[in-house]
Amino acid sequence: MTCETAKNYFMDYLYNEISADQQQQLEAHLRECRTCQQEIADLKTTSGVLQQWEAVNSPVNLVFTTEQHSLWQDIREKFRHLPQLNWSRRKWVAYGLGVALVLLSLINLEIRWNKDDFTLKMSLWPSPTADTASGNLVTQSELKALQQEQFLLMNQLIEASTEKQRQEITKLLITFARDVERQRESDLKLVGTSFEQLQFQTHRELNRATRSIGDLMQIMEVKGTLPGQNK
Amino acid sequence: MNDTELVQQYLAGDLSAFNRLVRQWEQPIFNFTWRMCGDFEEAKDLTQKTFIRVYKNLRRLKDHQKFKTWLYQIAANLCRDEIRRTQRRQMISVNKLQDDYENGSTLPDSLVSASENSPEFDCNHHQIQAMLEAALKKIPDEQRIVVVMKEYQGLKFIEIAEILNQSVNTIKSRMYYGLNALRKIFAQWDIKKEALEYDM
Repeated sequence: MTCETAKNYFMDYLYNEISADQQQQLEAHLRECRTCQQEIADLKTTSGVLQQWEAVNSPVNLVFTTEQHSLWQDIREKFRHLPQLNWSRRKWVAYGLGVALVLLSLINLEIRWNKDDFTLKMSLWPSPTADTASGNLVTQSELKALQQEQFLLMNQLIEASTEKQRQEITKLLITFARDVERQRESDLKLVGTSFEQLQFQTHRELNRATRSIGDLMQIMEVKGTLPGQNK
Repeated sequence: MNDTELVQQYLAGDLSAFNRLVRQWEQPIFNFTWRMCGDFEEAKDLTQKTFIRVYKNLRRLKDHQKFKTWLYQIAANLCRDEIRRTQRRQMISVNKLQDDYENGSTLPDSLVSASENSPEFDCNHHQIQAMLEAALKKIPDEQRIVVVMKEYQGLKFIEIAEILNQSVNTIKSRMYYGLNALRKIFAQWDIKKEALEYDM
């Protein structure tokens, strides 16, 4: 084996992709050729240096979720199963569409010549005529009647709203007055009860005092110590 | 459940199957994009973009058994676009270019002082990463992608060839030249495997 042939097997040999037969031949050559031996050793060292760059865990962590289809994507998806047109057919379809558009615009072509005024209009759809345009117009009297009607309607609405507000306020005032009256009655009752209790208490205290004085008078009368009896 | 079954389950309407696919492939794709673009935050963004693109286009994948190849193709394309964008954005100053020319080195700034102090400087984890990142950026993009796929993703040459739509021999050749270019860069920076392993 020559050095040139040997070099052809270097990469296979270095990365273990060489056949057993070729490996035998190459190793036989390497035993004899110091130049090739040195070269393969250098290549191995270079590969070893490269291996020092270690792999890392991916920091990306991708997760794919169900995508929200747009309307256009849905349409495309629906028509995906239809036979696809090849490029030549697509070309003819495009030409056909182009011709159709030109014809359509020619049909609706409008050319006007009025003394110095020249106008040329091209459109895919026919331009609206005066008749159809006047269909949306109303006369002055009709407009006035409409305005009048609207004015009346507005007035009615305002009146109805005011009446409703008035009723609600009256209802609120009545409720308020009833509440005040109820509170006053309750307060008066409370005052009346308190007076009665006070009167009853005073009366009882007076009775007790009268009884005590009577008892005291009797005792003094029995003992003869009343101021009038000694004289 | 393998990738093919998960893809079929998702296409039958089971979204959780897709999330299982994401969980299964998130780490390899993140590490791939990280080593390709050399920017942690950018790698996060590229990983997200990859899976969003997968989610949107999975119905178009004809051969469900080729999910892994297809996934790496998407990630690789996004990485290439990003690298191109970054290269356009970066304004390389004339001074920096001159320094590089004079010193014959573009060792990362954080490592320059360490390198000056001792011929076989000690590296911590971040320094090793920064050094390898800078070294990988110095080799051509088409070699870098093969080196990353082979060294870090453990893909077979035939798989890489399929992903990158190249012949197996082209891939092996790019790997060979890529490794040789890196060997020269490491030699220029006086980096030996033992020096790196000392601190590990």
